[in-house]
Amino acid sequence: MSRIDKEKKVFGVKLVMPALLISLCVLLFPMVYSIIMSFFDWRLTSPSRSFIGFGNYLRALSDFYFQSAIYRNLLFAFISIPFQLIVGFFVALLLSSGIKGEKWARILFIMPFFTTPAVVGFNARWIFSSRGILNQLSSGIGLSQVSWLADTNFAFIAILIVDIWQFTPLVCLILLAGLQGIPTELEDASAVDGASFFQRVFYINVPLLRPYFVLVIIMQMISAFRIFDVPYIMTGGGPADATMLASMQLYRTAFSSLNFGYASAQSCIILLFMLVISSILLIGELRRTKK
Amino acid sequence: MRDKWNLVRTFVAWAVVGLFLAPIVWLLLTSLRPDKDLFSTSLSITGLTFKQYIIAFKTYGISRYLSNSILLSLSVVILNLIFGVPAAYALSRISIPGKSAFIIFLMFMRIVPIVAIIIPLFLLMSRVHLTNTLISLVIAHTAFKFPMTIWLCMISFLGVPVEIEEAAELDGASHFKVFLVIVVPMILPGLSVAAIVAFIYTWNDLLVALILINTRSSQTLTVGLSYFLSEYGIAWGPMSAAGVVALIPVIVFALFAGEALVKGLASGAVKM
Repeated sequence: MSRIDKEKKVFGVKLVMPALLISLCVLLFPMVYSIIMSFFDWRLTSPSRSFIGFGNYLRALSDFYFQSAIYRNLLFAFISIPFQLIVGFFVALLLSSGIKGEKWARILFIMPFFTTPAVVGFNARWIFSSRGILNQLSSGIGLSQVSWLADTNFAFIAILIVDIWQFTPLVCLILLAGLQGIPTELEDASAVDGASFFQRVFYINVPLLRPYFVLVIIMQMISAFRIFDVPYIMTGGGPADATMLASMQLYRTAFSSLNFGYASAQSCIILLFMLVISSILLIGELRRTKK
Repeated sequence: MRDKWNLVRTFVAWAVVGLFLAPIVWLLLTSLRPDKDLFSTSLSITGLTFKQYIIAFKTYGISRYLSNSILLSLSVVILNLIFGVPAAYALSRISIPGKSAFIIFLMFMRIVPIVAIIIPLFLLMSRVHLTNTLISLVIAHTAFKFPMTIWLCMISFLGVPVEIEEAAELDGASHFKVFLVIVVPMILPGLSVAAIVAFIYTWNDLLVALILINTRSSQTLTVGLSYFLSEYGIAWGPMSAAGVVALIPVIVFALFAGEALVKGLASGAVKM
């Protein structure tokens, strides 16, 4: 290695060092500590920490509350994500079709995604409350009033609605970025060849947008299992655990049951789960592009 | 014929945009209504008042939480730029031992739910006697934003042709000078995106502040919203006002940089 290369390496290390050190202390250390502690019986209520091997993990896998939270979260993701994709794609098509005020429409449409989740949560509680605007509107047109956040089914629907509201704009703008990358010659040529609008969309746009669709699905799957602020504020997991999602269950195990070792094991399981799903989707996509 | 369809599309598009903006507009409207009108459904803008805002600031003292949030978010952005940008440059240009490991680790941390590491982090902070201070939040949030900041900046740096740096070095400029004076200015758009994203995600955070801070006076605005709950119920009027205040920076950034932000996030991710 030449002297110049060595000198450059030293320079590089100096540049990385501060960020690396901070990451080691604040990110890596807690992460490793958490993983190690998942093998211990570590509760805030007692000072002793005994090694129990996979005890926490086995317990989690047969824990009704933990399992329900995961199934519930999966159901949540499987309903929310298709909605986000379909509506997002539809709006992306609209916003790239030369409508009036297109630029402003895009800028305004992104709002929900950046709004503070805590504000969204409280605002949603306000809107879905028994005297809130939704109930007042629906009684105005003759539908019966719904106790949204106090009913197990409606509460779940409510958090779904808010999730779709918050993330569809993100999905839409990502797909829009993809659409804008499609050369117009392709679309024009197919129009000349007599393709109808729908044929164009399905045979040109959708296939070319595939990497973006996969990206969005992976992103939103991961996001669905991390979501905390909004449902926590809207329902706190209730009523009767109807809206208890994965990260909220983790929070409950850690801060209500005060069983940190168990909570660490649960989060490791969820983490592995998400890694597996992401890998499957990624590898599936990479295989397809290789063909 | 063409124009007719364009009008239909315009109408539908703006109807959808309106539908998505409705909750935010409703929040704004609620915050400007006096208590007696809070639950009315009329869209009238008569009788609007700033009273709720005054109550929020005077009675609930949200200016304290507001300044905490501002201080926190700005500090995190500055620290992220100071530490994250050089790191991104080194990781994108120079082959350092352990480079891949560090990058993979950063990507991994983006998937981890914060709940998983928050407890050990809290214990760490209490060991160094930093709990309940804004400093602990600054340190935690800076680290949490590193993956995003470094990734965004790496993408930007990779777009800068190496020839420019080589030419500058041939002219005798030191490594650091090349970095700071030549390359960094070239990624200004990517830098702004990284800065704004770091600000927004720090500003919006709830969980980290909730766990690391116990005393109200050091709390952020996001958590401060929950202080409008009491045994008498929720003070919806002042809370809406506080909510609007909390949304102001976010809306401003979204208005000015929203599209660029999403494009930056999207194109970067697809390239990976």
